[in-house]
Amino acid sequence: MMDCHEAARLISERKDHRLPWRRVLELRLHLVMCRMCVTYHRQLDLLTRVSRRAGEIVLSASPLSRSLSPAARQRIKDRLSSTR
Amino acid sequence: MVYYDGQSPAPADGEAMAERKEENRDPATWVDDHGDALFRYAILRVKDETTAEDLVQETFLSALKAIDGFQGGSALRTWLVGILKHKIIDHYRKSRPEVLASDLGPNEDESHEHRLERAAEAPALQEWAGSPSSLLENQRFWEVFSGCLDELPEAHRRAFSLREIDGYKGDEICKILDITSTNLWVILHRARNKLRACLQDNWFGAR
Repeated sequence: MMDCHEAARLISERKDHRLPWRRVLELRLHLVMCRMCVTYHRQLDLLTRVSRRAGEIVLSASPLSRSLSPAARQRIKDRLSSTR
Repeated sequence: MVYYDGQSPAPADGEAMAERKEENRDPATWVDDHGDALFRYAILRVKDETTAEDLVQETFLSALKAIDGFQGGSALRTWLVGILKHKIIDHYRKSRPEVLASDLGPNEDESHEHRLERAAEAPALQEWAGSPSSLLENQRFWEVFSGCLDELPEAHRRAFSLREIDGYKGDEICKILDITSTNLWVILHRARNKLRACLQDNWFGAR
């Protein structure tokens, strides 16, 4: 049977490209018998969804508390007004 | 200046629109209105703060040159983000991080990697609680998440960000990063593994 290492690799790769049907079948078989890899699969799926969502909401009122430093802000303003 | 954020009612009357359009034309307000949002967008995708600041500055400068072509059909911010996106991809293309042989090779030493076996020592992997929206409402989660991203090697971070944050297709990413698809898959697998372990240690398993 496919080991967890191989299963983990395929769980990830499946997100990026189509696997040969045989490999998919082997992976499915592994997942039927391995709860740990099922959980791993779910965790990677949540990671994917969190990442996509983070990319979308980072522009709006996201709680990511990063902002331009006062120095950078001033530098950019100066640069803009000297260019106009 | 208030922007339509999808939640509050959109400014519908023509007067407000015209007023907004006028304000858009005044670059003096751009940095205060959009600088932080653009910076957050950039810093999620680029680790280095100075680089992110430079990208924001270049975005404004390009916007200034092209402002006559801005139709005002879309919000100014959407237009600026479009420019920033291109700047980030350009930056990825221009400054390619070194991809170490140990990042890729089939005989790589994985002893330093977060391997699945590590979890196998524990009785079982833990189910992760929470939905993307509930997690991302939490400022501390953002800190952990972006901290974990920052720990990835630069090449891994870029691949992950293009694939998982921006949703680019594999072949597009290969072109941008100038790597083969086999290498991309290896890198993405490693990046996901590392992030998974980092989130487990610092968030899901840490409470």
